[in-house]
Amino acid sequence: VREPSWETTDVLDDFFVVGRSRWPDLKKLDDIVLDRAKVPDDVVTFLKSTSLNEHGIVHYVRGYLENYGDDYKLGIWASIWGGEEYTHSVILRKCLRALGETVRRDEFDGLETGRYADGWRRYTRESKVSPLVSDRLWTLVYGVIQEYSAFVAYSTVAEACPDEPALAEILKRVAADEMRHCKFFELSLAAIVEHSTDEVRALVWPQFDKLFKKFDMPQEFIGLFGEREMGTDLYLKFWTPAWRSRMVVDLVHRFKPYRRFAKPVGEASVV
Amino acid sequence: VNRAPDRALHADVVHKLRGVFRDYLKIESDSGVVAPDTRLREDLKIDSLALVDLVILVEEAFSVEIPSTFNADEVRTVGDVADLVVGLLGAPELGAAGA
Repeated sequence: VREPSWETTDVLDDFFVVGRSRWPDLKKLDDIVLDRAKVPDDVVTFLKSTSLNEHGIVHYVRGYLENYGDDYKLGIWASIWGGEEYTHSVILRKCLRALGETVRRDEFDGLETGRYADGWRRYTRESKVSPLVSDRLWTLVYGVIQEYSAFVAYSTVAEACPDEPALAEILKRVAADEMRHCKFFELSLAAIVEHSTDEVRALVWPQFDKLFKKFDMPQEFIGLFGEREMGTDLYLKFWTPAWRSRMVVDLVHRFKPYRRFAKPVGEASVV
Repeated sequence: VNRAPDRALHADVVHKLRGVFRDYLKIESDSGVVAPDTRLREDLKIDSLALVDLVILVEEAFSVEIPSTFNADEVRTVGDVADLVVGLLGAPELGAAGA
């Protein structure tokens, strides 16, 4: 299936160029000075967890490439996205080093050798509302929610370290990257839905609804995070009611345009 | 939440909300299950995940757009939802039709 609005590389190029300009001070972060005494222990654990999680990009890019199938442009996006997320791993490790903390070798090993693909494939399969939802479409819906969740995760942790504003500022910048990623998934979803059948369009809202109500972050599929108590539960500790509400409202508004194709609330999830 | 003084509008909103919630919860008769002091979480089982349903139901029923500054922790009862809606209806800059 050829999708005219998706033939252009303009959007990809824009995101690539902006992404390349986001961290001109990456090298300088080697010299950043942070005071460990001003950073809560939970925040340090979060930094370790997310530096590992962002290092796990090979697992996640593979999973995305698999689900994108023959869509070459989204394959390029997976590559761009992977590079940006790995940049976050580098940044977070620089912060940890400045705090006198490190990620241990066995933790890297646990991540790199961790099994991910089976859980990802099972989740993709079992959380679809209909066989009519392609792996690609499902992944774009997932991507919007996942990147927004990452935005909230970094934003809330930034707010949890007010006494070390340099660290908070870095976390806010990472959060802004995640929001850009969210936007890319949103645009890609819109472009692909534009050229879908009405039957498939009608499934976008129900798919969002189902995924949101039973959402697994990528790290859920790698044993290390649960074993070391560095998984989603750690992230959720920082989520305030205001942030949770904001996420729901903003995501609803992103997916609301697809409501006009769907069934009434309450009937939507059962397909 | 804007505590609007317009009691008539508030009563109309509560009345409509009762119907919205009854339909959502598939309650056939108005047996007082949904009243202004009915608690969303404890009585109607609308938890943080079902917040998606609450947002879309309210927005579509009243053609309002809930702002992202909305905090679900401050909206605990059906009456609180009515306050929210009345506030949005009375604030055109926030209540632009979104449905």
